[in-house]
Amino acid sequence: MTQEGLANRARVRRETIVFLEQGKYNPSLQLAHDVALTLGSTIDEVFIFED
Amino acid sequence: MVVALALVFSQAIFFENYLIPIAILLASSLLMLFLRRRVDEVVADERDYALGGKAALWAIQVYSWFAVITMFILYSLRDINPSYEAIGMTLAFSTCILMLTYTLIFRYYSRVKFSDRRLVYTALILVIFVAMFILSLRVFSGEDGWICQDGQWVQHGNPDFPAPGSECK
Repeated sequence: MTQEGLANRARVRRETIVFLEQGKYNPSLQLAHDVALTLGSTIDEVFIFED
Repeated sequence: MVVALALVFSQAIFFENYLIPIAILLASSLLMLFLRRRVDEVVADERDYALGGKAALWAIQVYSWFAVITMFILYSLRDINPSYEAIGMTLAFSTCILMLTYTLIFRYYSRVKFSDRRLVYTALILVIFVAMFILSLRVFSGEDGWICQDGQWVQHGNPDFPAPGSECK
């Protein structure tokens, strides 16, 4: 799946997906859920939070 | 569209017709709203709103500091040009109205329920500021001032300040 395809499904802009992948943006819970759902995974598996 | 708007505004100001720009501005805003709804792509998402909120906060702070400092500078120079006082008052009241507007919108979006009394007080303060703004425009609009005629400062109306210290040319 491309960044644009993921962005369209999650109803955000492609730039937001880019920033998510680079770890420069912390998504809201809703967006994290939408992205994980689109990728057929869970939030824990898609997003890794480092303390 | 921006270029067309600029052309219309400039021509309207040239011909001293100020109703046309207001009408055109309202019509163009409605047109933008209509066109935006027909776009399927995401124009702005949560990240844009978050960044916009931060940018708006900084913009309000920067403008407020600039306006207050400029107001005091203009007040100190009002003897040179009486219109400086009106400009300073405009900056001051615009800052107050901007902050009040921000507070009201922030409260709305945070969904804090106002008690009836606080809502009344807030609305009353807003009305007072708007009234003071309008009054200051009337008082400091320069209707009562000094005009330069034939190399001399002549009273226009009943100004409550002395003639400007600068040379009348």
